[in-house]
Amino acid sequence: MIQRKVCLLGAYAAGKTSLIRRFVDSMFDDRYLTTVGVRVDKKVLSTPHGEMTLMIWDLAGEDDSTPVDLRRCRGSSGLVLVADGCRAHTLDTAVRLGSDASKVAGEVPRILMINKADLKDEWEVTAGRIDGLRRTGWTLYLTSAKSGENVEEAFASLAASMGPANV
Amino acid sequence: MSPAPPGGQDGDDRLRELRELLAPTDDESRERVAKVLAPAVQSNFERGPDLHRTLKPVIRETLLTSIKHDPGLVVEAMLPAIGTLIRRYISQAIQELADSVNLAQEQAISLRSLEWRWEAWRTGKPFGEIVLAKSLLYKVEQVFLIHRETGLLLMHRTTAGVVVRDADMVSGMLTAIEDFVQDSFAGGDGHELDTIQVGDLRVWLRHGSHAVLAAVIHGVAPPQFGGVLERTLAGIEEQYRGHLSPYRGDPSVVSGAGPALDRCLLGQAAMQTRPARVRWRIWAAAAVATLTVLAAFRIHDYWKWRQLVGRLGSEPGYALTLVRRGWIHHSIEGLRDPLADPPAPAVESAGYRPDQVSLVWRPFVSLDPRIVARREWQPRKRLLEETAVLFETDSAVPDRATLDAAASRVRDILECGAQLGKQLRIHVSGGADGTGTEARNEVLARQRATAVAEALAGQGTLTPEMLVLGPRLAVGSRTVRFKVEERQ
Repeated sequence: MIQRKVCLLGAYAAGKTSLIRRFVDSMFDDRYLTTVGVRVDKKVLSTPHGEMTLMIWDLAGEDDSTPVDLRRCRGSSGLVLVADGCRAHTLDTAVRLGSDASKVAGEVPRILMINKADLKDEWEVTAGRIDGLRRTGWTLYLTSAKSGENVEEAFASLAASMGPANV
Repeated sequence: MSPAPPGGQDGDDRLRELRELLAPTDDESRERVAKVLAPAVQSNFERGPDLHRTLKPVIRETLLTSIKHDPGLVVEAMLPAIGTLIRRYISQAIQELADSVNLAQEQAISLRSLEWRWEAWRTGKPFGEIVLAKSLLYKVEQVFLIHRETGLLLMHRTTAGVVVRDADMVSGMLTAIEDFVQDSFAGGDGHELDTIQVGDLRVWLRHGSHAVLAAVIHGVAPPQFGGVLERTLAGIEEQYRGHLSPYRGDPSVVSGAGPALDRCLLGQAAMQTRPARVRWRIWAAAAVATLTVLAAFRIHDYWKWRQLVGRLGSEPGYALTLVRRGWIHHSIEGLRDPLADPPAPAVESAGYRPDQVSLVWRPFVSLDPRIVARREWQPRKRLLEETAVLFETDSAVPDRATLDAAASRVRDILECGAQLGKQLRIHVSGGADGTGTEARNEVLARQRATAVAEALAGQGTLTPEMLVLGPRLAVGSRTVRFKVEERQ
């Protein structure tokens, strides 16, 4: 079975970990994020190229005092950026992390997940901003950690775009 | 014709040509320079060191900048070359360690070391290596082959019976933790995490350019095991280099490495079988030796016992009623005539200490002729010595009745003495009463003793040598008396 390393990046408290909690097989608890700064989870997906195992490196979120150690993205085949729709600055952070991580991992497929789709009324991120990002080539999903909405789809699309030819 | 002045049409063309040559502005010119660059550099080198001098600082600076920017790149490029050297150096260091262990163990002689020595001789391995392998118990339970850059699991092997959680996630997390330790403590200066220890479990990590080999070990593995991991990893990297850089996420490309990884699953299980068998043999040998010693001891004791019982059984004045032979203490009970010889010399001459044999005797009267003789000896001796052969006044002819009585008692004492094995001599002394002269009495006393001795000489076993004339008896006794002398 094909295996791929995928990095999960986002601002602190953007909801990365809770977003994938129901989606992945996990054997390490959240304490790894605060100590080692990363937690590795696993997800087996069906793709047009056959079954694929994603090893998802959930990197500790970036906050004012702690930058994400992007060296961990070395060897990634894909990037998942996560933002919180209710906090506009987390989207800026996610976009910036995406471009910084590409310098380490190379031009690999990436998706942007804007979380808290279930709290649309409280969003700071505007529809115009979202359209703008889509126009610049971002594959973007509005997701909800609470309902699990679009999470599976987002990962499936990433897996499909990391076909066997990609590394 | 003089050349056309600059500024004319010709001059402009030439200037353009020259400019194109010196500072190419289009693709065609670059192509032209590219064509001549290599031969130009080559011929410049052949002409002298000028170009070399010019380029040297540029290249040096470029290299330094490159190393400063990404040291890992240089390390990766050089690892295949220096890795082998380092490995050889480490092997040599381990060899030296093994040699010193050799030397130390040379002195130690024990059953175990003899056993190891035998194995070293049999297998042709250095003795030190055997000592290390035998004295450290360990078991390699799992081996992970991990792609270095991605942390993806390439292959995972375990020994039978080992429960493994998700090896893919362990592989990823192990890589993440390695990065974490390196960033936090090694300062990114190229040192790598080699060992992780949790209680009795150790994880040994060996790093190649493209892969990491991690072995999970129960117990303490000998240093040689590090060499096994390094050689395995080097072999795999050499064989699958093309598939590992770049790695396309398909672990099946290294599926042929399975047997090599299985060979890393070493440990105590294989090594323990033999000592267990040897230990069993040693126990068996010890048991046989013990039994042999016990049997020899028992047989020896049996002969001693037979000797003692035989001797006491045939000893006059003894009647054995109970003999009991134990492992350490023996006992004999029976009847013993008080005139019998004491038993202690018999016990000692059989080889027993007095406290090893308990003796219980009840007295009895033995009718054994030798004991009877002992019992009769003193009475008979006394009887003979109280006997007097009588004479008439002034006569040397013994009174018949008293002479016969004396002869009978002499025979008795001779018989008794013979039974007891005694050498006897009987002193015959004559005497006279106070009548008559002293000279006459002297003669008469000697004549009387001589007459009795001659009369007795014919009796039984009495030989003339056994009869001697004793001193004259005190005055007033018209008799002949006897004194029994025991000779040694």
